[in-house]
Amino acid sequence: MKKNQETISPLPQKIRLTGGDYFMLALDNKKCSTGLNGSICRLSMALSQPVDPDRLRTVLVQSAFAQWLPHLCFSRPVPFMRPRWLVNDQGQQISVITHKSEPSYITTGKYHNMRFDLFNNESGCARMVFTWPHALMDARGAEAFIQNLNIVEKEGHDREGLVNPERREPLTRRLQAMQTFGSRINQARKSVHYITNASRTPIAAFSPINSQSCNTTQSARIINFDEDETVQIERQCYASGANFMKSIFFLAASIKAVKAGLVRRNIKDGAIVVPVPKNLRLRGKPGPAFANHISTMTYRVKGNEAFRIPDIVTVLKEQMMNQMRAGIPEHYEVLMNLFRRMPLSQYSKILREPTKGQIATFFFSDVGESFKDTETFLGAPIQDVIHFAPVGFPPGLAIVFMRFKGMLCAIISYVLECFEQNDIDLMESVLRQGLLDGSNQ
Amino acid sequence: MTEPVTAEQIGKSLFDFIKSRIVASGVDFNVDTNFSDIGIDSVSLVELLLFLERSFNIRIPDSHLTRANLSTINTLAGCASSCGSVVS
Repeated sequence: MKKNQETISPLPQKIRLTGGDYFMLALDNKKCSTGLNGSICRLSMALSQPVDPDRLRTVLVQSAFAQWLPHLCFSRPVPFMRPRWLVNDQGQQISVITHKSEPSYITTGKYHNMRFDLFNNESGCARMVFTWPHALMDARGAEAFIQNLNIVEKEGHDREGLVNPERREPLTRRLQAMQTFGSRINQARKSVHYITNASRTPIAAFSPINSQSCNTTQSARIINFDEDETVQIERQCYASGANFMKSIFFLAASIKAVKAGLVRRNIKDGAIVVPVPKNLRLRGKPGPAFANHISTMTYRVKGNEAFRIPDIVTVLKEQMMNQMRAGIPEHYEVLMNLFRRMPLSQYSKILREPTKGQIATFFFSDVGESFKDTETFLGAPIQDVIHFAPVGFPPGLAIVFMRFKGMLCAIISYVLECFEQNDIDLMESVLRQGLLDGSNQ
Repeated sequence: MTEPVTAEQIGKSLFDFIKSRIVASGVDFNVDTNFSDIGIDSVSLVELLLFLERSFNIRIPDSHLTRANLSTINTLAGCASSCGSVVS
């Protein structure tokens, strides 16, 4: 029996931001203050046939979630209260924009606008690009959102569980929580201590080539690996000492590549510092699409340890185990939740301290398997998927790994003003070689 | 003298830990379900290894962290039981 729309839980009229959401909003605020359009993510999907824009518009109208998302408005009625998203009647619908050919760039438009760009070329192939603000969804959430559109088309309504509001606990539990407020402060302090130590200066970092300021035009280099190469890379994970920890191996290869870039630019001082997001969703089911469900682990590799991948793997493995053993990701989540009470302008300022704006050498993420068990998007077979991370300056560089249909892909996203093509060519070459032959590099 | 913990005991504890802390409610699995089938990724595997450290004082050496040993609850429990090295 088909589930009626009325039996699906209604979407909330107000919902608290997670600590991750508020952190993304602070980063967004920081970028907007430099003239950018905010912290904007993109997902690009190659399709073997075009998607009918009217079909997509119909599905977006049918989806209560897609109607709800653009109407969320940031609210903090009382200072230092935890902020919320409130539903109102303002906000633009998710746009669907068609293009006859594929341009080399997409302007993001005003903050908070989500959009689908559909590119249909003459050979019959097509590309769909979904753009969204990071403060509303993380990468896995965006994938869940798109997969949900297939469900809406098939069943006429959203699936359950797209939104996971923070539950209001019973009074007794809340009273108990107040008695352990001190322990939460203690956890947050441990996190601050760890992050401050891990990201202490000097940090090796790229800077604009020709000017003092950065307009931060973004570009990306995509590195694809076929099936055989992906299998070879998995073997190298084990041979390098990373074993089953593929992300650690990818990060080690990325650090080696970035080190090569730094050496080319004669940037010798400073450690390589990389914050890495940790997915907090429970496994085994498509989780919530809405909100950022992430914590962070921070890695610090000394300059003289960043030349050989097996050496880098050893350092990273130890730091990963130590952080998880010490509960750093949990403490960090508590810290980000506590920061929700801070005014946004103050939070953005804190993000610049104590490293005077240099928060990392580069950003890194391993998205994992993308669109597993999803063959089509609104009937169009999916050929390829790419995630483009938002990257502003500093640090001006982000490396994202992902897998689609078992094949690995690495995306180097960067700010044009900070890099010459030769820098990116070198990093691509070193990264590719490091992944394919890591144990010997 | 305490008796060594059995693979079955470890397996049951792992099952309970995974059910309560790692996978979403309603996900159906047993001690022979492949970890990848229930979305257990490398970060989750690290959490399982640290759970074994905390709960049983067992630290599995790198040489035993093979694909075969890390495929199901039973294989992991068997590996942990045979390693049984005490964390100092």
